[in-house]
Amino acid sequence: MAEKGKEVRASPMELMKHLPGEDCGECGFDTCFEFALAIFDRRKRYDECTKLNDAQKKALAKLLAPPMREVVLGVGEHARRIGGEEVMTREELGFFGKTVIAYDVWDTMSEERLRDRLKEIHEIKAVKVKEAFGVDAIAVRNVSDDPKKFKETVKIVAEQTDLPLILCSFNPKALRAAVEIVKDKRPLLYAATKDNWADVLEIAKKYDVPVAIFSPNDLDTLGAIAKTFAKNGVEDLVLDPGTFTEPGSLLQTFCNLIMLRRACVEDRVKEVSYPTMAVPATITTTVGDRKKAAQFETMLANALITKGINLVILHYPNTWGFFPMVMLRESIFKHPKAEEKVDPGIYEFNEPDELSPVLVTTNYTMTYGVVSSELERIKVPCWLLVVDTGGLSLDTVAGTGEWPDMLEEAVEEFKVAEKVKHRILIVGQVVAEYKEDMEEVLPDWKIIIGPKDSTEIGPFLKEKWKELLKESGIEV
Amino acid sequence: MSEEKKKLKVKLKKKEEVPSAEGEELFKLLSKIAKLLDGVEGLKGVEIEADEIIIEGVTPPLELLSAALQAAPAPAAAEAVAAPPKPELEAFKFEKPVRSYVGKFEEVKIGATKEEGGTRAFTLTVGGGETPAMHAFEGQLPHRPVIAHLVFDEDPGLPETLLKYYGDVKDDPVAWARKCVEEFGAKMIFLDLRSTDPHGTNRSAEDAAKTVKAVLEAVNVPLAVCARSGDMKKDVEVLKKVAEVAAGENIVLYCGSITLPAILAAGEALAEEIYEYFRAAKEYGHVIVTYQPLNLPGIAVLNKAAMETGVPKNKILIDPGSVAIGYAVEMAVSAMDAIYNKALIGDESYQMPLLYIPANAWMYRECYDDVEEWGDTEQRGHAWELGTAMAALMSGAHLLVMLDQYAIEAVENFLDRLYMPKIESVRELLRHLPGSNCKACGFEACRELADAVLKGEADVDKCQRLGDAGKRVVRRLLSPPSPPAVEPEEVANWIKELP
Repeated sequence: MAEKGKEVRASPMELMKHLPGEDCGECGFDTCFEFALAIFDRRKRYDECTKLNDAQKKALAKLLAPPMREVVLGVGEHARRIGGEEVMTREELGFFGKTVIAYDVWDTMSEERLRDRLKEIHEIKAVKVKEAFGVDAIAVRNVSDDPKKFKETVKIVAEQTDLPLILCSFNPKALRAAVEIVKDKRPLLYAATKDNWADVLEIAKKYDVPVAIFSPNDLDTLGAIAKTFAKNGVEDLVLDPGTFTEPGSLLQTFCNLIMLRRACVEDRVKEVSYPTMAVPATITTTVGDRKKAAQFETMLANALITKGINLVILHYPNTWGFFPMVMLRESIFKHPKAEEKVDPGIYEFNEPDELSPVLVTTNYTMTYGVVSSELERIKVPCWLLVVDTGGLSLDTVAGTGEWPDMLEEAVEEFKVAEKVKHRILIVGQVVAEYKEDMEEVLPDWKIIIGPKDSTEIGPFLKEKWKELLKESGIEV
Repeated sequence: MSEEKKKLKVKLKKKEEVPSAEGEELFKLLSKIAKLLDGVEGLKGVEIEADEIIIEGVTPPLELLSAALQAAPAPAAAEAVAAPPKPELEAFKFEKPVRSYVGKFEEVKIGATKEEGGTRAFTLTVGGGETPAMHAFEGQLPHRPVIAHLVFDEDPGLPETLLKYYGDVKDDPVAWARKCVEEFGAKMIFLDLRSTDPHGTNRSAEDAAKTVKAVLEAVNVPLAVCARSGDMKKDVEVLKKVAEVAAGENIVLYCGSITLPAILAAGEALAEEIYEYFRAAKEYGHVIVTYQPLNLPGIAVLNKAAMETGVPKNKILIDPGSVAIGYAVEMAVSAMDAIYNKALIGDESYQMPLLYIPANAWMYRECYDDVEEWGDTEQRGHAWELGTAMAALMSGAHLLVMLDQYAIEAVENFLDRLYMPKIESVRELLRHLPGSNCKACGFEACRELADAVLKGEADVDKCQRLGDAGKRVVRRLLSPPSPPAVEPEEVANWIKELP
C-alpha cells in the first residue's frame, strides 16, 4: 500500500549485510564497505558486484529499489533506462533517469523524405570532451490514422535505425500493426488514453512492451489507467500529463509533472510511481515561424530537463539546439558526488607548442572548469597539467602537504618534459608555501607562482611569459 | 461446453488485404447474427466457430463486437461473448502533494521615482514566492522575474551575433542603454563597468561614476551597476563612487570580486573592502548583491555581515554563481535548490531573491565560434543563453541579466505564458507573432499588424502563419482569462497536429 511521508533509505550498514564481504576488489573498490557506500548513494549499481548469489541480489534489489520504477526503452547498446528517481532536487541525492531526447518522423511523409529525415536525425551529434552524444530515440507519428501506412512507416524506420522507437498513435489498431513489426525491440507505445486503454493494455500484455499513458491535465485518470495496467501485469509505464504551452496552461504543465514526481518520491503513491515525459514539440504549434519554433521547443526542453523529466519528444532536429540541450542534460543528471573529478592529464589549449607555458591545476571539476574556460577565452596557446588530487581543490590539497608529491607524479606520468623545451611550471598562489618542496621533488623544473585568480591568467601570461623564457635561456 | 451456457465464439483473424469497407460489411453481418441469437429463446450451448470471419480496417473489432452484442436486448446474448473479460478501470483519486512552508523570499524594490527621492519613471519589485520554483499548486509564485539588459561601458569584443543588435552603440554605454530601453523595451539596465578593470583599460572610479550618471540621465528605468574585475579593492572603490553619484536612485550595486578567507573562523572579521561596499549601499540607499560562486556558506556569511552592517534584508540579492550550460550549471542549479530549501524552512540568511546572469554564456566559445560540427553559430548562441536562462528560471531565479535580444524576447514570451499579463503594447504583442514579416496579412510587417490588432482595427486571424494554437495564445494575452484556462483539447491530439 502507498505509504505517506519520506521513507528512510537502507543504510550502507544494512546493504553491507548482503555483500560477500570478501573485499575481493573486483568492483574497483578495496573493500566491500566502500562498495556498499557507492551503491548507497548510487554511484554504482549493486549488480556491478560479480560475486552476489541470488538471495543477495534479491535482497539488495529490494533494499535499493527506488520509488520510481525504472523502465527500459529499446534493446541492445542503444537501450535507454529511464526513471528510477528518488528525489525532487538533485542536490538531495542526484537525478538518474537521464532525459531521453527523441525527434519525430511521421507516416504521411514520402519514403524519400522519411529516409532523409532519419539520416538528418542520426547525423546530429554533440561532442563533449571525449564523449559524443546522439539522438536517443525516434518517435513515429501515425498522422494518417491508417494502420497499414503506420506499419509500413515503422518498418522503414526500423530498418534504418537501432534507436529505441516510440510508436505514437491513439488508434489501437495502428499500434497493434506497428508493434508486430518491432516487437523484439521494446518500442514504447504512445499512448494509452481514457478512450483506448483497454485495447492498448491488451497489446502491451501480448507483446510485453512499455506503454506511455496520456491523460492531459487529468491526474485522476492518469493514475487510474496506470493502476489498471499494473494490476494486469503491465508495469513498464511512462506518464504524460500533457504538455500545455499556452498562456495559463504552460504553468500547469510544470505543476502536473512536479506533483507526479513528488507524489512518487515523497508520498510513495505507488499508482503514479513511473517516469514522466513531455512533448516540447507542442509549443511549435503556437509560434508560426520555423526557426522560432525550433528555438522554442529547445527552450522548453531545457526547462523540462532542468526539472528532471525523463523523456522529451521534439520536432525540429538540429545540432545547434541539441548541443546545449545535451550539455544541460549531462550536467543535471551527473552524479553530484561524481562531479568533483575530471581526468588527470595534460590538456592542450589554443594549439600550444614546445615553447608554450605549462599551467598546473587539480582535477577538481570546478577548478578545472574555471581555469579551462579562461584559457579558452584568452586564446593564449598553453598546456594545462591536471594533477590527480582525488578531485580535491588546490586550496584543500594545500592543507594536506601532499601536493608536491602529487605534482611530481603527474609531471612524470604525463611526460610533460617531452611536450615542452622549457622547464617552467606555473602553479596557483595557494600552494606558494610549497615552492621549495616542489622544486626539491622536481629538481629539473622551475616553479613559478601564478596569479591568484583565473581571470588574471591572461594578463599574467601576456606580461610575463616571454620574460620567463628569456630568464631560463630560451630566446623567442 | 456446458449445456447451461450459451456461447458465441468468434475468432478474428488478421488479414491486411481485406479493405476496411469489407470489414465493416462483415461486421454488420456479425451484428445480425447476434440479433438472430436474441430471437432464439432457450437455445443451449450454441457455438459458432467463425474462423472465416476476418475483420480488418475497422476500429477495434472486439470492442465493436462487444458493443453490438450488448446492443441486443437478450441478456443471454450479451453474456455469450467469449472474448477475454474486459478489465474495469480501477478507481484512483490523485491527492495534490501540497506542503506548507514557514519561510519565504524577501521582496526587493529596485529604483526610485521622484516621490521616493530618485528620478526613475517606475520601480520594479523582484522576489517573493513561498514555494519551490514553479510549485504554483501550493502557493503564490514570486513576482514575475525581471530581465535586466546588459550594457558594457566598453566593447567587450562582441561576437557577430550580438553586433547585430549593438554594433552601432558598442562604444557608447549611454547610447547602448538608450537603445535597450527605447528600441528593445528594456525595463532595467545592468551596466557592467568593465573598463575599470586594472588589468584592462583601468579607468578611474570617477570616470566610471560619470558614465553611471550619464546613463541615469539618458534612461529612466531602474539600474544595476556592476564591477567584476577580480580586483576587490578597485571594484569597491568604483562602486563606492557610483553609490554616491546615484544617491537616492535605489540602484543595484553588484560587486563580483568579493573574496572570503579560505577558512572562515566564526566571528572573524571580513576584509575591510567588503564592509566599505556594504556601508556605501547603506549610506546611499542602494541594493547589494552577495556573490559567492557555488558557495552557500559564503553567501550566508556575507548576508549576515551585510545585515549586521545595517543593510536591510530587503536590500540584498544573491548571485549563487551565474555559470552557463556546460560550465558547471548543475552546481548552480543545486546551489539554488539548496538556497530554496533553506529559505523555505525559515533560514533568514538565504531568503534574499536570486539574481542570475545567463549573459555569462557569451564568455564561452560555444556561443560564438564557427565550428561546423556544432551547428549554426547564430542559432546556437541564442540557444545557449536561452537554455542557461531556463535552467535559472526553473531553479527559481528572480532577476535575470541577459545580453542577446533574441534570447531576451524568447524568455519574455515564456514568462508571458507563465504570468499571463494583459498585453497592451505593440512590442509585447509582437513577440507573440511569427516575426517573419511575410505580408500575407496585408500589412507590410508583423509590427503593423500588431499595431492594428491593439487598436482594434484588425483581428489576429489575419495572420496566415499562426495556427489555431498561436492565435489562441494571442487572444488569451489580449484578454487573459480568469481563472487561467487549461483545456485538454489543446494537446489532445498532438500526434496529428504537429506541422
